[in-house]
Amino acid sequence: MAGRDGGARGAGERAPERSEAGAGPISEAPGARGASTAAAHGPGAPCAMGLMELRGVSFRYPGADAPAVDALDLVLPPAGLVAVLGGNGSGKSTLARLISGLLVPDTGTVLVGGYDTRDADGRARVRRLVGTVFQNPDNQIVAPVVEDDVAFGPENLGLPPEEIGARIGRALAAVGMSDHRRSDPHRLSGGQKQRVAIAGILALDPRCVCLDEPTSLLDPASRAEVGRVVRDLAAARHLVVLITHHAAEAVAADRVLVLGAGRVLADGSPTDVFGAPERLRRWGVEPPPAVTVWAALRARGLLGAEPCLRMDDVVRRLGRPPEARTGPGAGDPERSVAPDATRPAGPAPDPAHAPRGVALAHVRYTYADPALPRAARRPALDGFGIRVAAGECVALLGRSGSGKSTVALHCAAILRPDGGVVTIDGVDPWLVRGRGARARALQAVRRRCGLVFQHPEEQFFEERVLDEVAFAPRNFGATREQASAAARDALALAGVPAEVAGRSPFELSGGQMRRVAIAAVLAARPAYLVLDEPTAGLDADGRAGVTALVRRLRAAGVGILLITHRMEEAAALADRAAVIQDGRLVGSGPVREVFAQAARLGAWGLEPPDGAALLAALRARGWAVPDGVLSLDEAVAAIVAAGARRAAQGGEEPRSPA
Amino acid sequence: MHRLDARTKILASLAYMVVLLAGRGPWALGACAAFTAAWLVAARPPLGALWRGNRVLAYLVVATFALGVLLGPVPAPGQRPGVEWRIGPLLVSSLALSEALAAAVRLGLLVLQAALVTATTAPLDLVAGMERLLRPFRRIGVPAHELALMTGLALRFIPVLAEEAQRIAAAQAARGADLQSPGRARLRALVALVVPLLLSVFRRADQLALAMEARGYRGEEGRSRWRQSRFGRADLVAAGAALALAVSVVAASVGWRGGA
Repeated sequence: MAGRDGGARGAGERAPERSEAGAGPISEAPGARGASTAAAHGPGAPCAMGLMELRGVSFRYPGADAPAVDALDLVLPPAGLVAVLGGNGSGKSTLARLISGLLVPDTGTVLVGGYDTRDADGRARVRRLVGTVFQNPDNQIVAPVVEDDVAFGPENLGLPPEEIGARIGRALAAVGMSDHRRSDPHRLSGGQKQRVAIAGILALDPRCVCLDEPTSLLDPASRAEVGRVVRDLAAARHLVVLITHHAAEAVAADRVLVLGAGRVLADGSPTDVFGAPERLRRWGVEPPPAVTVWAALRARGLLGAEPCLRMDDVVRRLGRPPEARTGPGAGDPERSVAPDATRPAGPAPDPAHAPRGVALAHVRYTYADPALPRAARRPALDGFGIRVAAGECVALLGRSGSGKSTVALHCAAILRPDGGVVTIDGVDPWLVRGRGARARALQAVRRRCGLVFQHPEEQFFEERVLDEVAFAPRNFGATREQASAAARDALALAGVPAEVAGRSPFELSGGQMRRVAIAAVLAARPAYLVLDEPTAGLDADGRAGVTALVRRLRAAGVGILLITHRMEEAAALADRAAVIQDGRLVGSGPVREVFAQAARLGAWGLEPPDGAALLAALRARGWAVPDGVLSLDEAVAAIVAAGARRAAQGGEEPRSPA
Repeated sequence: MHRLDARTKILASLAYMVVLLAGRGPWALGACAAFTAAWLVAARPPLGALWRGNRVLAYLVVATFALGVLLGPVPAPGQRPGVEWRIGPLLVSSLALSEALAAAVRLGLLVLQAALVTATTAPLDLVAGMERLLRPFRRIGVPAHELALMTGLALRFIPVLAEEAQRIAAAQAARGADLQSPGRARLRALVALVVPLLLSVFRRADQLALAMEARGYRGEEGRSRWRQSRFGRADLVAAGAALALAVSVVAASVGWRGGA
């Protein structure tokens, strides 16, 4: 761990006395209302009851209608993991900036270790006690070499070089990045970059590490890496404040806070807070999947009142399987999964006889990287093939760096393949000869196959939503009136209220921004749509809006290629799934079949959807539940069906937790 | 060479540059070439990477030579043009040939020496060396620390922003923006590329400023430097060699002029 031992305190750095006495069990701290006595000690005195104390804290951003944080009272303990949940605009990030002295409350007091953030001196102290890690790792790494970046904080403290060197070593070891001391941050993965950012904070030797949505821009593998580091920090007796909208990350917390409209809506242990999942949804927080399953099974009388926070708990509490007549594995379990009625079977894809659609065949592509010799460049796509027909949704799955986005760029004829063929409805634009003719062919293809990039709202540039959305049809040759009409249609299709059309695209909520960005591509009326991580970075409400839009588009006959890290999303939306690894197609088929191959999913670096994982774990315990299940609802139905068989046999009551 | 103090390398390179450009005659160029060759042997940089990084500049050297030969100097009145050859319609004089060769060698050595310095020095060491060299000039208003910080941030963010520009260009191309199209459409495409890029730069700058503040940055005051550099014996040797080169070349140039 980045040591907080005595040697770590070099010249010029004097942390205030740490109230180790208060580092008791976390559960005692929140109740301690007598904490207000700490005020009497004034600045410089250790805060007896907790490391942090907020009293009547309000903050309003200049020009905002409502306060971001509203009369907040809070005491945080000296150590442990405190998770802060809440939808977009709940005040989470503002809270992070207030407790780290980056913002000063309009009214009320923020005391950290006894120092008040309202006076400049106290603020400097607080910033040294509380280190903040932000959402985007790219925008907090200041140096082009990892070790120099970690050195930045200690340099600011004026520490002697030997001490800085020691801290770099400890901080990088604490986040498992010691092997990358000399690396260029630009060449690291998102998770590695975020771990470097955490090391940069640890090198300051803070008492509290505050992480403001550190994983919301990361893929699942990176998210798990960062999650491990976060838990290690808390275990090393730091106070860790983890701000997140992934409830599953809060399960390991000692205490969970839910914020809404700048107020504390709930405050307690994970069991307390997640025990009421309906309430959480109302607040815009999607409960962890295990909690959803628990609530559904509890309603059917299969589980008791104690909430399950992890899938392991669900499996354990369900216990041994019912004495099913058929026994495990008997019959054809696949049959027992009722086909989802809302999902009409897509057109049978038969590559040889279906010239229509977006098709990549044997595509090879290598990015030019002048820093590397030609032989050392790895192909991004290496003989990749995929086909998307009208009216079907194909999920493209693969870990980061597997080539998914390169596939997207080929579908929309942005990149020209080094080898192989890309056709859109049978047309290969790259075969067209003549400059003008080629340009027209490319425009025609780009119009037919829309491409929505990751974080597409970052491409906004107009002052009005309507102009932003009308940009594509104008480029494809529509008159101003036609383009406006197309834009209005697209906005309506995307579920954006008509009155938003005249507003600035930059002042919308995250979910609405994303739907406007998708509408900006839909306005060209594409027959095919490639969506690259369309729900990345959105909260539960925002995700639901985008998911519903994808369903509507598919129903309207648009062929969709859905690139996603969220297996649940692929399971809920796609007809077929294709898996890409190192630029090669390694698996494809109906989405149920792909997700049923648990062993291969692991080898591909993918995790099965929660529902499939749950049933697989139950099957391993002898439950007669079917394979090929995707959603949590289906999983619950399957468990209930198995349970009903037991009830029919007059089986015993549901087992209580062991 | 890798271990030399960045300050030595910067100063030696500056001296080298002056000598190379001011020195006259084959002796000056020969001495410079020897100096660079010594550096090359001592540093043993990966030649493949050196070539890839400077290929364009190497072409420039060749072009300089070719243009110099073709458009070579017109002999001044009374000056003998030397031997002349006629190649097809071209008239090539030995004077033009030697002048062009000198110019090309001079440019080539300059490029090679600069490439050698950057290949044997971590960019951040160069930045730190610059900061230390400029520090005495703070009193006359040279913002040494700020310049160094900005250079470091530029090194960090240029690849990030280059990638971002590429992504935005691709995204807008997918929306039909065509930078090759004529007239207003082209202007629109340009706006669609530049505005999001600028917005992104501002957004990043904002977040970066906050992150730097969160890491205790308050300007140069009270700050220490982790990257230390020491002026060692090797530095003395290198600096001595550079000085010797400078003196000898200046002397040789004077002699050359005197003789001419």
